[in-house]
Amino acid sequence: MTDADLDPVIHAQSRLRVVATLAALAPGDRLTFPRLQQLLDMTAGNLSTHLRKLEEAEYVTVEKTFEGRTPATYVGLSPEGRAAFARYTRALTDLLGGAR
Amino acid sequence: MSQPADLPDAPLDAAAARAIIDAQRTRVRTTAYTDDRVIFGIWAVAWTAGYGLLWATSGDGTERMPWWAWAVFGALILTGVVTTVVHSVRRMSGMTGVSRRTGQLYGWSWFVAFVAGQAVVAGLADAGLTGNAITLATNGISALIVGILYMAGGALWQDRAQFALGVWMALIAAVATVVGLPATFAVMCVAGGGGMALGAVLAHVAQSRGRAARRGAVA
Repeated sequence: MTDADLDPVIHAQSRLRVVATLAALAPGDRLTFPRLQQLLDMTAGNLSTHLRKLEEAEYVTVEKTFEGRTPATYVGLSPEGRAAFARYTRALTDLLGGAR
Repeated sequence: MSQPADLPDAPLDAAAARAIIDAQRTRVRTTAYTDDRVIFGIWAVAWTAGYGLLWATSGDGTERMPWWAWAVFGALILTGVVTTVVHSVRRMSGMTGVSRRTGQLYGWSWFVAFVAGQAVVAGLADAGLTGNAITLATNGISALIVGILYMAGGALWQDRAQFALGVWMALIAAVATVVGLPATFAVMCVAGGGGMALGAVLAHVAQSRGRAARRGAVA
């Protein structure tokens, strides 16, 4: 197994950080955009770009809603995203095990 | 601990990827969910110091206890409530979904149970309960609520340590009431405060084990 076997959507520093953060939440939990941004120390523009790519792959769900009159955006990992991340971490473990 | 943000993504090797996953997991766990060590810790202090003071000042009989001992006890309990609520609300801010809904309903069950518990005592007082009996009823009902809700919390979050602490607190509610004043205060101080302190230690051990287990999964 080589690095090439790792899911290319996840295997890039910024997107991996986004997916790892969302995967660390309990299943069924989602974060607001600003809170996710704070947990990642990313700018809003940068995070939006990466979220778009992850959304295109259907790994994350981005829901825009209103809380009273304030707009809120909730980001969470989709079941596909959670499964893809599980495959990714398994592949990573295999790679690291093989390197020993 | 912040990674360089907004730089073009550098090539990633497997070890670096693993480190990123671990770092973000730790960050989420230590900032986005409540820390049981904080909550058990503040209650360990509040009960040990608060009931300890009531115990220490009850030597001449509970009727002659100074007002300030009760005031300090009340302030400590209030500090425990405020710390618990502020900590939980802060940690869960910016989150939605299952954990938040569960936490909110669980938080409300504490509030409703204590208001109803105090109303029961008020009813007993109206029916003729006086002095030491009122103190015993207030304390016994409150400790029983703590015990029941810890058992419920243990069931909700599949946390055996928290469930066991709930069983212990229910037992203490019974023992503290049966022994009568002022020994009630001693039981609450030593066994109750001690139970909370043990809860904080167990939460710390569980967290350290979780970290070690995750490291072990890759090492």
